[in-house]
Amino acid sequence: MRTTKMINDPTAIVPEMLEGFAAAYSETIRYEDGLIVRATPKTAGNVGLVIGNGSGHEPAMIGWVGPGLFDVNVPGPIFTAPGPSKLVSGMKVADRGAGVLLCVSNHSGDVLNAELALEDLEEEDGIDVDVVILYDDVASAPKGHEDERRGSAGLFFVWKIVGAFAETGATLQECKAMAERVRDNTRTLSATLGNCAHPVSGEAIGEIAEGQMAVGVGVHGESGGGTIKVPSADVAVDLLMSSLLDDLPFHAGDEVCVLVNNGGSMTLMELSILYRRIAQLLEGRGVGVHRAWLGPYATTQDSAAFAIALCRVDTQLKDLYDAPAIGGSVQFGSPFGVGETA
Amino acid sequence: MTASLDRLNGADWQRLMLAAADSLEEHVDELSRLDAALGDGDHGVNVAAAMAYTRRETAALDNPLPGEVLAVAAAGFFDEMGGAAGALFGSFFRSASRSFGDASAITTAQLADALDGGTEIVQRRGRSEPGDKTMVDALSSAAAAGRRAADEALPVRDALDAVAIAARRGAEATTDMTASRGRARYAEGKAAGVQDAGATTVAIIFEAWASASKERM
Repeated sequence: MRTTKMINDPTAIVPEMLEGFAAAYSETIRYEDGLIVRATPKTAGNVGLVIGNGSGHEPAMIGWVGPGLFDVNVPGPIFTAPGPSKLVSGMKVADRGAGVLLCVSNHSGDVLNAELALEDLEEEDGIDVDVVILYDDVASAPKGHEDERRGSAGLFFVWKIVGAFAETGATLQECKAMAERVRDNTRTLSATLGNCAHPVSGEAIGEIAEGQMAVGVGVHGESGGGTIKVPSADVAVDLLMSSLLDDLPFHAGDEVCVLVNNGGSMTLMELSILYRRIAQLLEGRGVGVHRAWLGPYATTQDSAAFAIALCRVDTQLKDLYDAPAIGGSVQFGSPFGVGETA
Repeated sequence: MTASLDRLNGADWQRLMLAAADSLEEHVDELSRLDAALGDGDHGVNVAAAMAYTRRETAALDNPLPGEVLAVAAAGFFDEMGGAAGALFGSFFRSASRSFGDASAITTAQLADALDGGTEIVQRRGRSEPGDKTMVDALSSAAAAGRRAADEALPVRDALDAVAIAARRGAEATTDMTASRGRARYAEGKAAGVQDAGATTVAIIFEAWASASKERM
């Protein structure tokens, strides 16, 4: 576990990160009043999309602000949801006259602060706002109790698809329904081989013994599905995928987008070896793959962790997934037609 | 000194909140350690952020009402601490601030009302009950002591002693509880034998209030 960091003042980690990140991608984003906002605001008359989240999970979500993605990200303290007044200012900035959807990954701090922010906004007037609570982590609550599950890496698909949808003139109600539809078609499960240190306190986040792999660990080190001796990549994938495939369940003939998330210090070599087996299993079950994405989407510093997320897609969701989008950390769609099949 | 022992005015509350900030800052490492056993080990760091704001803004208040002092603490917890804990502590202080209203000095009865209302909103927002191993265990115990003190017509400084003792007892009782709310519920067996960080924070605040209330201006 690495405990030394390339930082300056520990209490200034978040603002210094935001300043540097926004400066690096200034063609896409700005850092203003503690918020990450689009450099070029969305066309008026479209629904604004806002998300708040604890910092320390980069590129989530500072890297996901831009055309086809979020209008505003409200970064909180490290691993800690931002407070209500910051969410309120983020929603005001994001409003382009068609209302604002506050997207909330289901963690108690995020939900509580979203509730407070909506109450505070109701006391003022002028902005039409709604909130959508999102969850996907199958380890955090049993099937049948989906709404008690945590938000995890699979929300990647919600942001991408709703981000594209919100550029099309869809109403606030339609955007919320779309977010729920993607959520209800997405399942995620993670595995962790090694924990990380809190960047300020230096305390270990979650405890994983050397040579062990914990299944279903949340993005803050919360435990989930137990610990086993580290298996081979194929065995790890078999274990995770059987839970995932059975949970929705995914059937022959379904089509999915796949994310293999790097939780911090995994390598692309490892993610590729994991994906090799994922593709084999999906093919074996007769599930088609529309797109796959390997890389760091939501991290917990340099945790040795990965997550597999599957999102069942239909024609509309596929089109929205493939729609162009650009944030500081991601780009979708291409003028060269990459991904087009003849 | 003619100031009534039966009331705490705005200057008293300024002193009480600054004392709470001092004491919490002295306990940052302990709070982080308690939180690391169950959560992600940042409770102390986040409390310190709330207190840095609270100290700065409280010291800047000129002849405030008691409710205005608590409103500053609410803002510190809401916006500098963040997370579930910031939302719940912020809700407690905002509720207590509104309960104090525009009173220029606070009696034991008013203190008891504020503690009751604040505890109720934390329970409702956090969807937690006494026994869930949360800050509610310290708050509900403290609120009950405040109510008893009001019923017995104790002077407010004596009432704060009773509140502080009860809060500490409530916090200590969380050691043997099993977490069912908050992030600690994911820690499974690890939480057993560890006192809840949020409940400990409540006890530290009320102990600082009790102690600072005895100091003469």
